Amino acid sequence: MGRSACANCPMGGDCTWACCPNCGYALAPGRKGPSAVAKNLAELRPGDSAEILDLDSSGGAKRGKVSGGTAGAERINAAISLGLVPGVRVQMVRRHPTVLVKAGLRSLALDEALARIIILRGEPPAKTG
Amino acid sequence: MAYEAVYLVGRANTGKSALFGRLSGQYVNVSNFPGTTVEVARARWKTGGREIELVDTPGLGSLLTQTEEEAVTRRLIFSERPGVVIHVVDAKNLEAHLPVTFQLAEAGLPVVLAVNMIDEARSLGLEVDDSALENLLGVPVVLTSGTANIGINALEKAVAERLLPRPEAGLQYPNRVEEAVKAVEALLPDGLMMGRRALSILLLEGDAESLDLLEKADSTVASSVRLERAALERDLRRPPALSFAVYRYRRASAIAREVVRLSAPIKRGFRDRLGDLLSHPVWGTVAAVGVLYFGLYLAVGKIGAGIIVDYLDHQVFGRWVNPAVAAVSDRWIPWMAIRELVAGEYGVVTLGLRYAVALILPLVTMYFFLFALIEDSGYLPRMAMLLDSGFKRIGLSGRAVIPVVLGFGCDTMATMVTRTLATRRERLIATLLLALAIPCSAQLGVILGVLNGHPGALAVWAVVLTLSFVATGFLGAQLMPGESAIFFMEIPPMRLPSAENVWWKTWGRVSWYMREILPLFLLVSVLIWAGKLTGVLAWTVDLLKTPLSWLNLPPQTAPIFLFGFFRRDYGAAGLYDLSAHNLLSITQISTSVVALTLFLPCVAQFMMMVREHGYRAAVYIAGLVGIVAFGAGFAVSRILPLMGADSW
Repeated sequence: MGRSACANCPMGGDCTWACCPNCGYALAPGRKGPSAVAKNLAELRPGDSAEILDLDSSGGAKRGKVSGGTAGAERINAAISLGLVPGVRVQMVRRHPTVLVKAGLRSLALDEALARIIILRGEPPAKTG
Repeated sequence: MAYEAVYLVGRANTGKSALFGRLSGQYVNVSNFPGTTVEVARARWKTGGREIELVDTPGLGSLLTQTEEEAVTRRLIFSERPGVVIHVVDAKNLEAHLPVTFQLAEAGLPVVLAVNMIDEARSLGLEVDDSALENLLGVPVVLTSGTANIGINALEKAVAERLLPRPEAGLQYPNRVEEAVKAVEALLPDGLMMGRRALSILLLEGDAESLDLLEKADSTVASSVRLERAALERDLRRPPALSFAVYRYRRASAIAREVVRLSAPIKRGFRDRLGDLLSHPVWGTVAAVGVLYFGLYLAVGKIGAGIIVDYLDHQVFGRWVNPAVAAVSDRWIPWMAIRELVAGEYGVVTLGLRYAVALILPLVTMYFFLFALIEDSGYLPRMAMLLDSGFKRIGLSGRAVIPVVLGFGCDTMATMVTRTLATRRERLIATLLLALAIPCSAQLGVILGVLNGHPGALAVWAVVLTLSFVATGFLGAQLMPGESAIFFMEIPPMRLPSAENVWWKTWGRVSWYMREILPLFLLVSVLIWAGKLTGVLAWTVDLLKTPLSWLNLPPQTAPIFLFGFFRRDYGAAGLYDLSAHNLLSITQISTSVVALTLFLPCVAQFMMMVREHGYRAAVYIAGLVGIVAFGAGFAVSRILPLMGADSW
């Protein structure tokens, strides 16, 4: 697909979405695929940086009293409120006692549960798969 | 449309309140931590040849609100008088703030963008091209600094011009999204307070408050809106709120990249290193303990309570004011009862006013001064970060640091500030803990005075208090249903507290305190006087004798608890007298101090609890607190003698 539909789009051509040049209908990328060797922010090592790929809307409901539905939406809203949205590049400063990251010139603190829903774009694998 | 108000809107940490001060000539509660703007500050502002109202709002991170405070801000700018919005943003982090500018513009609000803290950005080597930004955004842009007094006149001019109507700026979203926005717009009724487009977007983003309002207004429309939203989510394959956030962020980044220039590489200074140190789990904790010791114990306890209170109480009141008032009242007031009221043992002047001026005012001012220093330096968010994992176990998040620490100054104020917490569960647990185990500075000063000669009792008191705090919090968290707290917070750079800011923050809080709490003081004097006169006082004291005897406390301690409900420090002062005359054993002192501190919230705090959470919750909490206070007192009264306390 060409980039002709990007001219009027606020994304400015800087995205991985598929967009129809005729009607402008835009589709987000699927979560599976070689470019999404996903790990989440809680797994990022101090000193490393990565770009945010997505926010997990199931709310990371693996353990604890989190009930998926509303907690998931609340966590997403919390991440948005901090400005941690897909496209932002973050660097991990520390993971304990709370997660502390740098995004641009801002320092942001969040708890582990929130960090777990922030999915990062992994580096593409070295060998073709 | 004639605008009558100007709203300052923006995240916390953007220097909004300092700007408010510059524009209006008044400061109220300048703050860099979410949640410490206690009330909405308003001022009469003369600009553009007219007098309008300038309103400072609590922090707003997104029109899709997260906390009660943000919801209050949103309601203010939409349902109060229409006005120009000054969107205050941090010059060095444009891409993080511009998304809200888009939202405000979408909502049809006349916006002026104040790119604030420009002095800090420049000291880092950053420069912002305001005319390019203005062209890209479509709203007037002014570079400002509240603290360094830059751009204030230009801002005033821009606001004056904006008071005239103008076409709106905003963002065009991808076609599928625009399709949904227009579809929902078409469904909405007329006469809305918020622009159609903005409301449509909020509904698509899933804003609970808007959906509820729509449901009540017209539930058929509400269902259609829900269907549109579900369809959009299906097609986007992610929650619409997230997609909108991403579009705005991308556009904001692109704009920031164009208008912000870096003239030299950013250097890290001493302040950054200090900031890192204070965030460090080990050093930060050491710092927190140090602050606690120097702040609470030394400054409030020793200096505040010891020296200043002593001077005011014994010299000023003891030797001058009280005798003078007594003499005057003896000469001029013929009725015994009124003489009692004014100058008697519990007189309005001799006790009420004396307490307010000689005891409370210095203590509370000292506390709020220290608090303002810590707040202005940027240390509080770091403390919140360190305490978050501990607080999680008692059902709170690190955000609760602010009401908890403020509670050591005034529990009533802190109860109001629990509004900054995101979930109802957190707010309730925090309110419970404030009512139970956080002694306010007035209490603290007097109690530390009582325990001065008895280090053993002091240790017991501190330990029991901490245990009660932790145990109640833990149980409360287990028993109270609801979502666990989420912690998220921006950590601002460390700053040297500015004398001006500290002065105004302290003044703002002390004057609130005096206005809200002082009248209660004087009222209590009157009530006690009336109680004595009618015999109600004696009767209540009689009632309390039995439960007190279960705690091995003599009947003379009854007034302590009775007065303690109205003003904790009144009660504690009575205790001071008894212990000074060696009328109580160490066990009895310990029991009284523990029971009194844990005792029911004072009347002002109780009323604030009712205001924030309703009668039922307030009564339940008070009841629970009473039970724990009695239980702890009982435990102390039995265990201590077994440890040979009375021979300490």
